[in-house]
Amino acid sequence: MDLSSQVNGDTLVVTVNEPRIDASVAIQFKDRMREETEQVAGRVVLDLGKVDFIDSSGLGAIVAAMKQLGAQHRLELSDLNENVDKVFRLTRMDTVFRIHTSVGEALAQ
Amino acid sequence: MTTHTGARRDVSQPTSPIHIELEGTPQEVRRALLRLRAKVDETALAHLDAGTLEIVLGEVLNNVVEHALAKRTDGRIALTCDFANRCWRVVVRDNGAAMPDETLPRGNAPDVDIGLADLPEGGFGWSMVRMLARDIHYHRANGWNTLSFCIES
Repeated sequence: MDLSSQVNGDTLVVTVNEPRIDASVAIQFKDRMREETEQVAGRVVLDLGKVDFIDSSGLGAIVAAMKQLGAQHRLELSDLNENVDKVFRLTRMDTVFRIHTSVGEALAQ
Repeated sequence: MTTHTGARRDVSQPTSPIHIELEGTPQEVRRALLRLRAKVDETALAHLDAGTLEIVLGEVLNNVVEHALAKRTDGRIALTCDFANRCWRVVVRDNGAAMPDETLPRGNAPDVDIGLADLPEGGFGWSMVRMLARDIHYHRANGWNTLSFCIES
C-alpha cells in the first residue's frame, strides 16, 4: 500500500498512490496510515485523487484510520472520484467526514 | 464480418455475456473486478458507466469470500454479467456455506449519527447492495448458492 505524506503548516497531507482501497489491502492501508500519521501535530487531509475504486472494507479502513488518530486530530478527505464519492454518499459517511474538492481547497481553509 | 469502427451499438441490444471464475480470496475478487472492467471497456458498452456494477459486485463477492467461503481452501465462485434492456443481469454462484436461514441479509444501513469512537467500520456491504440493485434473488441447491440481481445503467 503506497502512501506518501507532506507537511503543510499544521496540516499533514497523506496521498494514496494506489487506484484501489479494497478488502485485499484494507489492513495494510490502516497500518500504513498509522505509520504516516505517527508524528502528526494538527489535522490530516487524505488525498484520494488517485483512487478510482473503494469497497466497504476500504471505507471501514478509512473510518478506522480516523478513529486511531483520536479526537484531537481531524481526518478530512479531498478529491473524491465519482465512484468513491458514491460509496461515501450511500453510506452517509459524507456526513461524518469533511470532504474537500481538492487538496488546494483543503489547505486554503 | 462486419465491423463497426467508431459506431456505437444500440445499448438496448444484447451483447455476449461476460463470464469470470475465481477462487475465494480478496486478491481474486480484485482481479475479477479488474477483468470485468477491462471486458466492459473492450465492448460496445464501454461508454456505459460500470461503476455501480463494480461497487455492487465487489460487495457481493467480498461477502461470499468473508462468510460463505470463510476457512475454505476449495472455494469456487463463478459470475456472469449480461447487458440487455438497459440493465446488467448478474448471476453469482459459489460452493460455500448457505446464507443463514437461507435468507438474504436485510442490509440495514449502520447508524453513522454517533460519536467518533462508536462509528461503524463495517456492515455497509449489503446495505449498498440493497440500495443499488433490484430483483435480488437467492437460492440454495446441491451445495451451491446462486444469487442474481439487476443493475440499471
